[in-house]
Amino acid sequence: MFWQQLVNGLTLGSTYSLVALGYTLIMGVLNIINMAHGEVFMFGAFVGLFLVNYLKVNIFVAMAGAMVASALLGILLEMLALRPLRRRAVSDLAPLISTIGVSIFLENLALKIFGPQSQAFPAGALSGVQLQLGPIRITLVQIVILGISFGLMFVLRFWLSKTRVGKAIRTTAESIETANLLGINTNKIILLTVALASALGGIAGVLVGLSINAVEPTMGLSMGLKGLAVLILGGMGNITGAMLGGLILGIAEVFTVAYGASSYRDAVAFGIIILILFIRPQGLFGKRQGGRF
Amino acid sequence: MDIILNQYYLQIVIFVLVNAILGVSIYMTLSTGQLSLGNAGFMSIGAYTCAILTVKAGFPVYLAVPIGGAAASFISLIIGYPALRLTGIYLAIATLGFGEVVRVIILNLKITNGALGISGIPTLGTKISKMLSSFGLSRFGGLTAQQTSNLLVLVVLIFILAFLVFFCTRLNRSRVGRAFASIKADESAAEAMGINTTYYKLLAFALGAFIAGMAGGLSAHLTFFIGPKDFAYHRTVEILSFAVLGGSDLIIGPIVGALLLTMLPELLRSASEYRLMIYGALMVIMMAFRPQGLISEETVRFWKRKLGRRIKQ
Amino acid sequence: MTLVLDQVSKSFGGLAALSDVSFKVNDGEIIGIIGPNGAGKTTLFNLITGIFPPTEGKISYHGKNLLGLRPYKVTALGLARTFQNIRLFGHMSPLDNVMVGAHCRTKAGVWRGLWRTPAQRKEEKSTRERAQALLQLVGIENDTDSPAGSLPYGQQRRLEIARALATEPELILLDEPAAGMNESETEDLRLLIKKIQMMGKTVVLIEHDMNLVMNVCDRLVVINFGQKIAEGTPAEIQKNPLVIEAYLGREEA
Repeated sequence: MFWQQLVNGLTLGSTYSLVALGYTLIMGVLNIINMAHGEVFMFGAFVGLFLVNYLKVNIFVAMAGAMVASALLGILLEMLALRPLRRRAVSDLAPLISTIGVSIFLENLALKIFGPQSQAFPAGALSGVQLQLGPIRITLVQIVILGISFGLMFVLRFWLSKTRVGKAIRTTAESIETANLLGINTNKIILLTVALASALGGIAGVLVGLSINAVEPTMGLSMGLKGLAVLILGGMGNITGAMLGGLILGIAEVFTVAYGASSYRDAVAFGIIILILFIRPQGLFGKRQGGRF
Repeated sequence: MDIILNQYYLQIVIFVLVNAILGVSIYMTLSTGQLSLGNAGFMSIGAYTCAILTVKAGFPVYLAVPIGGAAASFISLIIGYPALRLTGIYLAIATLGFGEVVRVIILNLKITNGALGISGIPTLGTKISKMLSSFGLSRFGGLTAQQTSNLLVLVVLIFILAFLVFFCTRLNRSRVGRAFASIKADESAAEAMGINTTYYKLLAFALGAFIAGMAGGLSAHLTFFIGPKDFAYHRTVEILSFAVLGGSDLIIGPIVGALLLTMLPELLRSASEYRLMIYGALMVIMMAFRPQGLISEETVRFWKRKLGRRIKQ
Repeated sequence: MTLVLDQVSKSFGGLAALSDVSFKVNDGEIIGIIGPNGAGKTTLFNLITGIFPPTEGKISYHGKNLLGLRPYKVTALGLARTFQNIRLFGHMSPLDNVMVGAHCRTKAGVWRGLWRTPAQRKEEKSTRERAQALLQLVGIENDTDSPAGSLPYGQQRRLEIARALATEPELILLDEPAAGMNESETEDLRLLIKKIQMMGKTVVLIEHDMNLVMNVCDRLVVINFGQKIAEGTPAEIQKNPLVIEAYLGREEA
C-alpha cells in the first residue's frame, strides 16, 4: 500500500515538477511570474489530443508536437504580453496582470472552441499494460510519465550547466544588465527561456491528460496553482527546488487522498503555501535574499 | 419616468453599484501596491456567512452584512500576515490559492450546501419593503411595490458606495493614507522612513477583504441564490479588470471601470458572449499602453489645468 | 558613545563586502566615511539601518543592540537616513514626502483620520507646520504643487534630508548628499549640515566630494575593499600614507 502510493505520488509529482520548472525558469530569468503558464499547459494537452485524435499520429509524436506548439505559444506570449512592458519601467504588478489577462483569454478561447466538457485520449494511445513489481503495480502510462519527466529534467540541468546557451541563460538570470554588457543578446535569451518553459508546460499537459484521461479548458487553473505552490515550496527561481518540490507536493496529495481526506486534495497545495510562508519564506531550497539597495 | 423605473434598467444599475463596491475593495489593497487575487474568495466568505446568518439563524440583514465583512477580514489576516511580510508576488500567489481553497471547502461543507448552494435568501428589497410597511408606508405615489423596493435597494447601495468614497478620500488625506501611498511608491524607502510596512499592507488588505465580504453579503441578498460557482477565479479577474481599466491611483478609477465593464455587455449584446476574453485582452492591452488605467492623477491634473484656463479666459 | 560598530562583516554569496569594520560615533559630531566606489560604504549604512543583517559583528546604539531590528524600528529609535540613489516618493508633493517622515512620531489611525477628530486635526496641523519649517530649512519652496519627482536634482537631495529630519532623528546618515550638485549648491549643503549639527544631531556622512568632507567633518573613517584602513581628523587622514596610496594617490594617477 505505502510503496504503491509512493509510486503514484512520484508520478503525479513529476508532472508538477515539469510545470513548476516552467515557472521557475521564467522567474529566474525575468523575475516575473507567468500567470498564463497553466493555460500553456492546457493548450499543450489540447494540441496533443488533436494530433492523436485527428491526425492519428503516434502518442510520442503528439508529445513532440505539443512541445513545439506550446513553445510557439510561449514566444507569442513573450512578444505580445511581456516585451512591450519591458520597454518602459512599470510596476512589478504589470507583468503579473498582463499574464493574468493572457490566461483568462486563453481559457475562454478554449471554452469557445472545445466546449466545457472534458475529452479523453483514445483507448489505444498508450496500451493499458501493467507491470507487477513485488507489491507495486505500475502502468505503462506511469512509466512513460516518470521516464519523460525525469529524462527532461536531467537533460535540462545538464544543458543549463554545460552548454554555451545554457550558461548564457544563467548569466541573464543573474542580471540582465551584466548579460547585456557581456554581449549576450538578452532579448533572444528571454525568448528562448519562455519558449523552453512553455514547451515543458505543453508536454506536461499531454502527460497529465494521458494519466487522468481527461483534457478540459479549466485544467490550466488548478495545475497552474499547483505549479505556483511548488515554486514557493522549492524557492523562487531554484531549479532543484522546483524538481524536488513537485515530487513532495505530488506525494503529499496522494497520501492525503489515500488516508482519508480525498475531497480536500486540492487544498494541500494551498496549505503548503501558507505553511512555507510562515516557517521558511525563502522556500526549502532557496537562499535568503538581501535588501534591494 | 417609466424609463427610469424600468425593472431591467434598475437591475443593471444595481449590478453596476455592487461591482463598483467590489472595485473599491481591490483599490483598497492596491493602494499599498499589493495585488490581491482573493477578492472573489472574500466575497464568498461574506456571502455565505451573511446568507447562513439570515436564512438559518434569522439575523437581520443590516447586522449580517457587516458580520460577513468582518469574517472575510478576519480570514484575510491569517493569509495576509505570512504573505505580506514578503514582496507583492507572494500575496498574489497566496490569495490565488486561497480563492481556490475556499471554493473546495464550500463545495464540501454541509452548512454551505455543497454544489447546490443556498437558495431562498430573502432579497434586500423585500426586507426593506417589509420594514417600511411595518411603519405603515407601503408604496409611494403611483409606484408598484416592486418598483419601490428596487428604488430603496438602489438608495441603500448608493449610500454604501458614497460612504466608501468618503472613507477612502478621508483616509488618503490622513497619516494612514500617506503611509499607504509611500509604500506603493517605494516600499523599502517607506520602511526606512519609520513606517511599519507589514502592518499597513495588512491593514489595507484586511480593509479590502472587509469591503469584498460586505459586497458578497449584499449580492447574496440581491440574487436570491448563491452557489460556489458565483465566486470562482473569474470573478476575481473581473474585479481586477475594473481597476486595470479605470486605474487604481484614484478611487474614481475602479468605479468608472466597474461602470464601463458592467454596461458593456448590456450595450453590446455580442460582447456578453466574449466577456471574459475581452477582459483578458483588455488587461494585456492596458498594461502595454496605459498601465496607470484610464484615470490617473496626471489625467486629473491635466483636465484641471485645461478647465482652469478656460474659466480664466 | 552613540553608535558603536564592533567587528562588523558582511558577505554576499561568499563575496566579502565588509570585513571586520569597527568604529564609534560620538554624540554631536560629524563623521565622514570615505573610500573609493564599491568600498562598501553604502553596505555599512544598510547594515546600521537594518536593511539586512551583518554576517558577523555587533552594532549598537546608545547601548541598545540594533541587530535584528526591522528598519522602521531603527528609525523609531532615532536613526534616519538618505539614499545614494534618490528614493523620494516621486509622485507625492514635497510637503507630503516630509509629512511621511513624521509618521513614526505621530499617532492618528484609521478611525481618527476618518472622522477628523479634534486630536487628529491638531496633530495634522502641527505635522504640516513642522514639515513646512523643514522644507524652509533645506530651502525648498513649499507652495509648489508639482510632484517631488519633478524637482531639480539638487532640490531632491535636500528634500530627502528634510524627510529624514522629519523622523526626528538624533543621528542622521547621509549617503552622498552632494552627488550631482554644483559648487554653490555644495556650499549650501555644507551650511545645512553644520546647521543640523547645531540642532544637536549627530551626522554620519558618506561623500566623495573631498572639499566638503575635509571642511565639514570632525573625524573621518576610510574604507577600502571592505576594510577600515584609517581613522582620524581630516588633517591626519590627509597625511596618512596608506590613505594616500589606496585612495587619494589613486585618483592622482
